[in-house]
Amino acid sequence: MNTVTLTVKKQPELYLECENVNPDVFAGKKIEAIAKLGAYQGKAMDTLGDYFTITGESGATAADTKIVVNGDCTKMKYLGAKMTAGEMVVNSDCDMYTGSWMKGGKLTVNGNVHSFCGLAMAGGEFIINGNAGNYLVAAYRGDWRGMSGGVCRVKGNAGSDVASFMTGGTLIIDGDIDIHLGTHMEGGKIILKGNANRRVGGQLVKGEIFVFGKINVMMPGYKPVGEVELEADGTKAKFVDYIGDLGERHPKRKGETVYGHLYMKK
Amino acid sequence: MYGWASTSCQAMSIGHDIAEKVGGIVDNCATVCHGSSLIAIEDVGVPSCTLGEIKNRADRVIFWGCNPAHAHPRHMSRYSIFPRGFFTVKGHKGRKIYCVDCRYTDTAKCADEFIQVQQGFDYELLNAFRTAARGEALPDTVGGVPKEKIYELAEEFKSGRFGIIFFGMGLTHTMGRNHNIDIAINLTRDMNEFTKFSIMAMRGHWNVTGSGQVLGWQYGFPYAVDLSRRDQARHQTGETTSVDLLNRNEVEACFYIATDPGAHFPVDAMISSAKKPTVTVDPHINCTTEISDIHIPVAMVGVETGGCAYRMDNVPIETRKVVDPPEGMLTDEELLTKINKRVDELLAKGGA
Amino acid sequence: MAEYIIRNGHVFDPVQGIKGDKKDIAVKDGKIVDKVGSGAKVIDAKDKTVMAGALEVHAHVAGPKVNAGRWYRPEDKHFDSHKKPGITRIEGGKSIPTVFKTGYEYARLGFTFAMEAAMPPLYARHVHEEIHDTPIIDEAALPVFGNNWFVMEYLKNKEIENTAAYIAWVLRQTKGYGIKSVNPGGTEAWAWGLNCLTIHDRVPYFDITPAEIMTGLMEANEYLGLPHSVHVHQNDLGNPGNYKTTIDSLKLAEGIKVKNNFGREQVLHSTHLQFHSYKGTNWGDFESASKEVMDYVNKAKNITVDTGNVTLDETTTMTADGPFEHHLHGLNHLKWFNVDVELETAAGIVPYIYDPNITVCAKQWCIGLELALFAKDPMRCYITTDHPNAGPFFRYPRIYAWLMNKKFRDERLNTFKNADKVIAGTHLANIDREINLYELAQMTRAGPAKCLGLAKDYGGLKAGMNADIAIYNINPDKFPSSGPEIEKAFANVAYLFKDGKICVEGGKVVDFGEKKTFWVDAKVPENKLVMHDIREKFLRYYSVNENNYPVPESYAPHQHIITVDATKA
Repeated sequence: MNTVTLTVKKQPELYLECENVNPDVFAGKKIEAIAKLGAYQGKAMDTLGDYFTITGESGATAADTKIVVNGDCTKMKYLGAKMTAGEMVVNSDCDMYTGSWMKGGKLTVNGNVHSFCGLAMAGGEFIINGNAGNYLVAAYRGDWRGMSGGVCRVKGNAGSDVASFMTGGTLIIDGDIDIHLGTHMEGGKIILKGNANRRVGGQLVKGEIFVFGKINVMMPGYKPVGEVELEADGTKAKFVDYIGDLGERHPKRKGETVYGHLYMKK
Repeated sequence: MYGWASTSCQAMSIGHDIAEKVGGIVDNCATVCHGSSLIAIEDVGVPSCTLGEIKNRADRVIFWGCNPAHAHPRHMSRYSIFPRGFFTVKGHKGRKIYCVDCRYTDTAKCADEFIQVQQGFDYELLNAFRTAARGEALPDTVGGVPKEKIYELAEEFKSGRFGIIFFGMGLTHTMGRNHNIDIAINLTRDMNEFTKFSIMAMRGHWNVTGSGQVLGWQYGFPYAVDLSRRDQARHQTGETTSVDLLNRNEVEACFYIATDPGAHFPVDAMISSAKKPTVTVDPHINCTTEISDIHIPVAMVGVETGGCAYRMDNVPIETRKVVDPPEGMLTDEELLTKINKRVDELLAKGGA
Repeated sequence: MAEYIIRNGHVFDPVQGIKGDKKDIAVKDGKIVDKVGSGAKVIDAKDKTVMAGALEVHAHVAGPKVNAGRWYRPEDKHFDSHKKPGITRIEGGKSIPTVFKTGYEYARLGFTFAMEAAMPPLYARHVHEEIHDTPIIDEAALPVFGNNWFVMEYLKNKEIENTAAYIAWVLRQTKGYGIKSVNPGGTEAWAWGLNCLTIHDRVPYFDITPAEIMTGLMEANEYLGLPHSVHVHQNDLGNPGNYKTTIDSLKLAEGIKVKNNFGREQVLHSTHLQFHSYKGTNWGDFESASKEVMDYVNKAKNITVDTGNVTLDETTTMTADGPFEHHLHGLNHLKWFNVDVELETAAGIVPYIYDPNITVCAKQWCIGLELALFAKDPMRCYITTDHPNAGPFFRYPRIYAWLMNKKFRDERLNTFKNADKVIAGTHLANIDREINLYELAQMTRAGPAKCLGLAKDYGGLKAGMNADIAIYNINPDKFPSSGPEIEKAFANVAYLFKDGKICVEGGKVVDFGEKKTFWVDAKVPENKLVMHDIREKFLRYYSVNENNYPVPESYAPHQHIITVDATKA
């Protein structure tokens, strides 16, 4: 695997839209060409070379390309967005849309990420060694297709509106979340190791949410039906099984209604 | 360029042309008002109707988190409680009125039934209504409302011929924001399996709906429209909305028209705005003009000049000129046309 | 104004019966003329196809439900960048384009006119604001009458003259073009959550049937002598087995005599027929009824139809058939938008994905194409997608390619996931016919113009007609042999002339033209009763003032008014 290293040399006055910073765009390009790739700041098109010192070399394909970003990226958006293969490591906090519309590959952020990250993630691995903002792995505005595949792991806390309209894949949050986790979920798995404030699994059609910590207020549409012993992210534990959301429609399979499950650790 | 909620659609159109040329962002008052409702509608749609349908057909009227007695004083007499319509010849005697709020308002005084919901528990209560409508089990109380009451109300709603939910800031500005409206819309949708039900937002600014419409047909989004890219318009509440742009210092200049963000925006946003070149276009001296670099007074739309406006149910209404504006006062349309011409001149000279 | 001479093009003009002969077309002062001076600018149309500008006879492009569709679907604009150089404004929207994109894209495809298919009279001002902002193409809008309280009350008592007087009043107030009827009776029933699925179901309270509404509207239309006929979206749209209701509805035209001064020969235009040509009892045994329906249409000379072709895209359905949209939402659970309009109509919107892997969608695609291929008279069958319901209008080039190249459509047919089931339930595999350029000109230009009562000035290239001309990069002598080539050729005109001005050149918009709003001003004898009823209903039942109803002149700065005198009817 070849590595391209970007080091921040200048901060944008506003915010930098780094839609071209991902293995798919870098693949097969020489460093000079990468430096000339565009990056919007507001309405003006600058180049990556204006803001980053770029060294190394890219692979022939995305899968052969690794990108390392050093320096302060707090005001950089879209890092790693739309990547389908390869690897990317960002050693900084990032702004919005980090890793959004990922289809494959591995993206690691050693820092916090802002909101709208991992939107509609379809595959690959997205590791956040920090906190995440709001709308993590949610669907884009208005779209009913949220995260559908891959694994996203947050070492810290996440905000609100996490995993809205999720249809597949796995989300693991080691810390806490605020409100609205898994709203309108239609599939997939969420594992929350910490606590949730409120509104977990609201309007959920199908899917599984494991909560190891506490929820301040349970949704009224969830009813306990028993206890189960399950394994979540490598940990075995006893959970109280709640089915729901009883206020929402649910699919049927062989005449039986298929509910979503909210597993609360005992 | 923010505001637009108190000017005509014709003026907005010119403003958008300017925004496109300079690569700016256009946002309207929904961003601090019914933007949450718009988000919810973007996510789940909405079964709605025009106000005349309420007048002519509604026999179950629910005010949830809104207070028309104060905010829309003619609403109850023109549309929602008292009028005798085609199928509602008994007027308010043929309607059952419900008011759901965390406090006993003047609207609640006009209602047949007042349901007090614990602050911040609207989402949970609406979830409970949906659960009750499906005949499923409920905990003993939800948001302070006992489950027997919830089942009873769900049945009453189902038994009507035409139900309507009006909602306002009680849902848009409490915990969850758009999710509260989202689930209220879902409840309305569920109700349509049993009888006819609609839901409507009680919009506050008289032409914010119009701004949403013009932005809609010109760019495809109802507010928070980013026109900085020549090749596409973009929209993301939380990123291209005015308060966020100001808080994150993502804009370099501010143009306010037909609004008063100084009075309504969070103070941090206005501090940010005050540090940037700011222009305000408004007939009055207001909180915003205090922090602006330039204040251009204009004629009042609907009084000193006419133009098209859209009602809260999206029906277009013509506003008319009633008196002349003060001597020399331009209308929004005239002012924006002049600005637009000047922008053309500067661009031709090679401005950015 | 500039003079042009379009030299050496292969002209296809059904109005003059020209089937591809090389002929020069002269343009002067916005009209087609016999000849121009030597100073005329020469447009080299060698090896190109020259036709009149196309007319879109039914699309949802301007109005409250179109706009609701736009702003409630931000994802429709997502990742939708348009790098079209030139003077154009920002474009956007994959299935519901913004008004700028609508105008530019229709022009790029060679269209010069579009009919907004359904205008709720209460929202007419909104429709005209959007029409005003749509560049280049002329537009008109059809107000809806099939669920209107006035119409239902008058027709229950068979008061044709009163109905006509009311319709004339509405056309004037809303600057409307003709009579549209959507799901007659059923949408009023929907205001109570009900519907009318056959033409004999009675509307709650108003106690009238869709058959009576349709017949009455047709009689009123001919009484007035309007340029267009009644334009109907039949009951029971989209349900397996609905072809029987469709043929029942079409049969209602049998007794009606056509009357007008515009050359129109039909008394009924049945729209997006694909959605109404379904056989079977459920989605499992769903089959094509295109043969049964077209057998009737081919015999019934006083009916015109348009196809409503499915394009196999993710799109947005929107219609005044409110109950249907609620039903569709129940099937696919996607976000549902609904608005009931007092005294008049309703509208519903639901996104829909016509997935080629789903047998039903594939069959729908077949049915749309079959209707066009079974049509014996191309002057009576027009190509549409009921934009955006069956697909976005910018797929027209692909539909033309499917109709003109059997290999291309067979490729699509045979690669469906359940191709054998699809083929078994439809006729498309057995149809060899390929539409040719002349027939295409009939189905997209001359036919729609005649149907809309515009044949005198539009839809053809005869001297005296309006200079709305489309020149395509298609050499009829070397007609493209593959579907994708046909599609590419129709997707971007070499030139588009609108009112004698070049608005599109090489697929690029170069001039916005001066589009006109078409509407019909029908004069009727003074009718005190109807005026009184109007005053009454506004006072008691409408939520707006009578003063707020008419659309002011400023909303349509360039009007093309067609006057009709029905005072001596």
